[in-house]
Amino acid sequence: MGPATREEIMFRFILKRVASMPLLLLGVVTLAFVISRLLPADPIASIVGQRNLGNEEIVAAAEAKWGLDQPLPTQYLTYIGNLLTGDLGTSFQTKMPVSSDIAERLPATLELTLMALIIGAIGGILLGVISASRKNRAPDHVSRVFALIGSSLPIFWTGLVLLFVFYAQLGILPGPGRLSSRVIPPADVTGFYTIDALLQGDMPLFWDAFGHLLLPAFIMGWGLMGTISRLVRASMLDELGSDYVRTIRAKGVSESQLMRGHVLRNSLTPVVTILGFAFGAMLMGAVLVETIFSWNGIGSYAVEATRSLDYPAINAVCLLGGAVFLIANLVTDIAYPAIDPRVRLS
Amino acid sequence: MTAIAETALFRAVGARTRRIRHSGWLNPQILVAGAVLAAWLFVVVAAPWIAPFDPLAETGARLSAPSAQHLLGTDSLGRDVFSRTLYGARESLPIAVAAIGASLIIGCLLGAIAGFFGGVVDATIMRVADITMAFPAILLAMAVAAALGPGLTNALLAIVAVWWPIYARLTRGQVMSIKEREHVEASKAIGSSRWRTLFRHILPHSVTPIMVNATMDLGQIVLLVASLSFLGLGALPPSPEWGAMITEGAKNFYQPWIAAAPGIAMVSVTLAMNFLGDGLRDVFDVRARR
Repeated sequence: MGPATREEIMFRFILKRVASMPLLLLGVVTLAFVISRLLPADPIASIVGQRNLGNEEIVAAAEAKWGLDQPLPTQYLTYIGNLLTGDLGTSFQTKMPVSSDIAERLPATLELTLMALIIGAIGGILLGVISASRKNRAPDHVSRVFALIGSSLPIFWTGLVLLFVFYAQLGILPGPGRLSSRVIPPADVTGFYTIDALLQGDMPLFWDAFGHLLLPAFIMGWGLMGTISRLVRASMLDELGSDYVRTIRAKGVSESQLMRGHVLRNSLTPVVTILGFAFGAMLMGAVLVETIFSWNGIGSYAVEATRSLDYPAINAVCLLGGAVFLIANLVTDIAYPAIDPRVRLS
Repeated sequence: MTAIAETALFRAVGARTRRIRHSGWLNPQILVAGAVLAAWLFVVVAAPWIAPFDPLAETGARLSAPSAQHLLGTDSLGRDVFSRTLYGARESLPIAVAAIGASLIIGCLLGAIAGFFGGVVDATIMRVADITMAFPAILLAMAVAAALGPGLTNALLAIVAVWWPIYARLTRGQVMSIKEREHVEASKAIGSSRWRTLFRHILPHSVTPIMVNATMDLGQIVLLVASLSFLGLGALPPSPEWGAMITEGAKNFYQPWIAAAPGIAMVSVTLAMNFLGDGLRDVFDVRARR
């Protein structure tokens, strides 16, 4: 047999990465379990309520029901066993299966995150192009400051400020929540209110849902916008210094055509890879934004769960976060060499 | 998106692109950022002397707008917002510094051991680090803080639990490249113990880039502390910690001055940190070396 082809190397590389996933996920689950069970707080109060804490019978019955009277290793094995059958446990707080809680709330967070990604990517690429084509002049500096501000603002505070300005004072954007009050949500098809409204052909409903998305998505996307603009600027400047650009210029191609047709295209590779990574990070970054905007998604679910020491829910959200992060990384690692053949696989 | 994710992103960016070096030590960016931070350092030390009122006492009418007497107004308990913001620096900033310090010590030690000894030790430490980093930072910090119970000390522990792997990875990389250098060979040749070689001849050479990173991270840590407090998992009332003050402001949405002051204070710190870090990164060109 001759030396391995690029496809074979790629295949082995992917196989190795995929094979390590279950082990990493087990690690994530175990860590979440250890944190939630080995620390001093006792969830029993949140299960039976403060009032019943003195009643030993109720406490014992609740402990038996939720399996909290078992030794920890047994609890752990039961938990892992249940996970393998797709059972994430039952929430102490909502008394519903955690998987159905999550399924109900995930679309809200996904819709918000995707919108934030779109805003971040488009805004970031635009700013990056402006920066690179006017390097070290005023627009470049403005965009640099804008990028740094994006990563310096406390999301929960920015949310408050923008809500106060655009909703309370100017009244041009809607307030918190996914829809205005008294507006009935669309029939549940995808769980994305904007898409479901379109499927119903209900344009006012679509615009209502869309308007509610704008502010929280912008706040979530701002940081990403900064990152992408810096990235696009740096890689465009790199490209502009390369030989092929000189050749193209020598051929007499116009500057704008050069930028659009060649430089920008080559500079977007790293952007694609960072989007996967950002998606994983943002999905969970929704915690603060969802709290400020009363957004009924995974983030606010996580906050409620931690406040009430709802172990099954906390563990499930951690598992989801870890899984999304790992998968996003995996996709990024696979996409990078696929998009850019110059990247070496090792 | 979260500030933490943002840091991670900036790292990913830095690793893949060459930064353009264009400034020296004394550029205005570093100077202005340094001045802002120095001013806050002064506030941390001198808050009791420059604050006009007791931050915890009811010293005026409730929810009164900014006036000559109460420069930044009062909150729902009639406490002076200006004084509380100044005192808040004493809560928020030392915790952030302590969290970075502890993460640095733990991360550098574990990373150095992993990089220097290699093998099973390396694999074990780095897998734990990988798994920890697979958690979204805010979520892991929330879980730890929730389980430990609210309070600034527990928030600090939660942040250290989330943040050490970053420095462990960095240090490991540094140590692995430095341990191949000739002066390390020499140290081994004259019979120094392995620990002595590590601590005397390898670690001191790995410090600079790690310190620059820590400077950049400080702003993010300030945000993380405040985020935990904002969610009710950090500082507790009546503490004037900035995140907790913003929660208070969120409850009084139509009295914007309550949340404005601590928010602007926090932004001035994190912006200064990020500008300083950005400036230092250009000076040291650290990212390119990773």
